[in-house]
Amino acid sequence: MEKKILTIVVTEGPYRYQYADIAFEMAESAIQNGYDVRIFLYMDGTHIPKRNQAPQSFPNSAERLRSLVKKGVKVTSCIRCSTARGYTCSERPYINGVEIKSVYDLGEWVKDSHRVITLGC
Amino acid sequence: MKSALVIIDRAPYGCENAFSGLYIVIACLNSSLDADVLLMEDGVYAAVADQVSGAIGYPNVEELTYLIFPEGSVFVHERSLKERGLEEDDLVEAAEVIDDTELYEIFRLKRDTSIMKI
Repeated sequence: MEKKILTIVVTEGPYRYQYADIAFEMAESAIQNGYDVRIFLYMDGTHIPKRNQAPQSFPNSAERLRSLVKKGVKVTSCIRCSTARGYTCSERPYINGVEIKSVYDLGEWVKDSHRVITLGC
Repeated sequence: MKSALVIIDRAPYGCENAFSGLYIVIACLNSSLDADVLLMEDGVYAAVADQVSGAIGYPNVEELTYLIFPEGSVFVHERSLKERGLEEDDLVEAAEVIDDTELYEIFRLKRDTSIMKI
């Protein structure tokens, strides 16, 4: 049977808010429940996959995302938001597996999805 | 999903949400989804006519509403509007003011809809 698709849209960056961690926990849970999970990073959510983060007190948001990518989660970052924040494809700012694409790809994901959850404030 | 409803409850310019939320509606319409936006609380300011954003060098959010309408609806929550001393005449033509009963009906009739609070 075809897997159901869950798309999680994250609009806030890591550490200041808990949304990145909630997205991680939801994605893990959805995978265990048989969902095909996709994560779209929008606005400050595009900070989450940045390489070389070294938080002293919190879980590393990029490493958590990396573990999801290894489990087959598709992660896309909005190109307008990423570029505005200095993350451009040519400099490989993100962990492997994160694609930088257009918000129009989110439209396609919403169409494909069985559930869409937005996390941010 | 067959349709999408993006909810914006923050004013434009002070915060990126209105600008970026409207772009999600435009993207969904581009993917042939039935997509609308609901402006409530401070989000109603996004539909105020004659915005002059050039003074701060920001893109004009008012213009984005015309990339949504008439294919998609720009719903404006009436009570939020009145609470802020605004009237329907203050809004862009694309705006469709809805009261709480109409809001309930919109949600009741939505099926297979992605509701995205941005």
